Amino acid sequence: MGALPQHLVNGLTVGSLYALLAIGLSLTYGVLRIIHIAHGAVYMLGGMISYTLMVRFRLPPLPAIALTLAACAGVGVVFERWAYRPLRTAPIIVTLISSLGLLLMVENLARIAWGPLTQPYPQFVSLRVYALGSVIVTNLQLLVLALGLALMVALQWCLRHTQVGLATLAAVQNPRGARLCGIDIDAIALVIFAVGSGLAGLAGILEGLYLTSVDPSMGQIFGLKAFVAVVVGGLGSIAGTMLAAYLIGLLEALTAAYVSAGLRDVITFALLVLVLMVRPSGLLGRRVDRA
Amino acid sequence: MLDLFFGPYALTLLFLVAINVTLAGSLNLITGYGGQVSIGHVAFYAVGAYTAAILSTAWGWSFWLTLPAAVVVSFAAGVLIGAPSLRVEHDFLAIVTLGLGLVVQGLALNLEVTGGPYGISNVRRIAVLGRTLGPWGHAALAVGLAGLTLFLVHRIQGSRVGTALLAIREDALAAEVTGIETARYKVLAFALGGTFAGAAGALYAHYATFVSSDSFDLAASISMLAMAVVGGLGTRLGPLVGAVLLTLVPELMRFTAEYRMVLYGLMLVVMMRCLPRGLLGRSAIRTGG
Repeated sequence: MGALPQHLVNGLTVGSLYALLAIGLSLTYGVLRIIHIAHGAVYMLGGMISYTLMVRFRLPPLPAIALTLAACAGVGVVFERWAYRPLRTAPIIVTLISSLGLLLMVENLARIAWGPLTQPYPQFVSLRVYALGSVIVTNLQLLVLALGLALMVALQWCLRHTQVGLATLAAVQNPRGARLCGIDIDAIALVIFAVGSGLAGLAGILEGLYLTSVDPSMGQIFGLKAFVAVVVGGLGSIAGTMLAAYLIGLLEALTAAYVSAGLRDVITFALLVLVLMVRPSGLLGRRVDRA
Repeated sequence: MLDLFFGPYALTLLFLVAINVTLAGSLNLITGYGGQVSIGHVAFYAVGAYTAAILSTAWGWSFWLTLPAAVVVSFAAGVLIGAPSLRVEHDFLAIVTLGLGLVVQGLALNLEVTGGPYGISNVRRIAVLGRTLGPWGHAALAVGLAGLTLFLVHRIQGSRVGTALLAIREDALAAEVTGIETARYKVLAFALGGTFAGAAGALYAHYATFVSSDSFDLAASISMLAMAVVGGLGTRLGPLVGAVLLTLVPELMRFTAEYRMVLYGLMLVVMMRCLPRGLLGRSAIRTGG
């Protein structure tokens, strides 16, 4: 059991990345009731675009990151305007197919643009290792954990203390009621797609740093697992989503360490099914109002 | 010229189209008539294919024995996979079935009995009266299965079961109140739909003589759902139209080489924008929404 704290640290780090991705999904589902599977593609673009800016165009890390986040936010906004807004009143299965179409499009375009191979990611943060007793923590892990937590706190603050944030929360609670109160759902949709996609892009950058490589296929399973966090946490519950994201990170680290690395994803998805059998609305979810 | 229509390539296409009609038609029973969105239909296809492949390679069974076995096993898998639909509804069910599909693929990739990442090769070819079937025979079998699926789904839809499913789709609570055992019928829809997909899997395993987990990924599940939706959920011939279109269009787009899947994705988005009810769909279906 000596290695347990180590696995916990590793698990929480990956959990932070899931959380960054899951926030956008939680908001898009909460406000618009869409299963935005293509979110994983934005995360992948975050990794690939920042890689290209730094390696091909030799930009320093900070401007490269800023440009990447802007590009990802832009892609999210285009998704919303082009593929989701025209389907605002359509059944969820129609937006789902549309979202899957987006995922196929973007992933395969990326495979053409960058080739299917894994690319080594520029390590612009020099690695430092700290030993806390028997646990080894790297500065990258601390960065991912701290950045994840800070952004989450900031996001919660914005949701509760700004006009847009309060309007978003109102729309998450009851989209129809919010619209009746004069809240502009279209404007909120653009904001949450921009912010959520920016966070997904950031998760892609951090993943590149943390795992030292990026590839055009990195988004699919990762995006689906972030969706598992949203569902297990309770669709529409932002706190539940974050909790579930960290739990999934921990579960995966422990499964990989003590059961089998190959079965890691199987166990994550099996957990999803089990949790929903016991609590059909997720851990912290309430029954979703159907508009 | 004749070769283009009757050559091996055309027959291969015909076989694939027919398999996809079977898959989309059986999914139509679950999602179109039953109103239960499933993104995990590939799981049944996989269960049928692996059942046939394992029985054929381990015990030397022929297709005529593995087919009924695959039917029984995939019916049982349908009961298992349909069970969550009793507790979980709508969007949640869509995600749960997606998860189940990935669990099945993940197990296929990791278990020993399924050959792990190498899959299972040397599945016996289909033989009739001691003669191995050629491309014509395979295509005929697949078309037969597709026709049988569409016919039986149509018959089920017109029967008590179909009426109960429609009632549940439109208003589960009202259906329950009028004495329909919603739980039984929901699971039955999954089991029946899964059975056809399992049979298609068995046929595919013997046709290809090889199965591996690559064939049963998320993209396969997506395309089954897309065929059912693009054709028109809950329509009699929708799965046929959807499967023909979405199987042949990527083939015809082969000249676009690596842009093929990009165009396929683009087509799905544009289709949903222009025809959200599918090509044959007329009335709005309250599927998961």
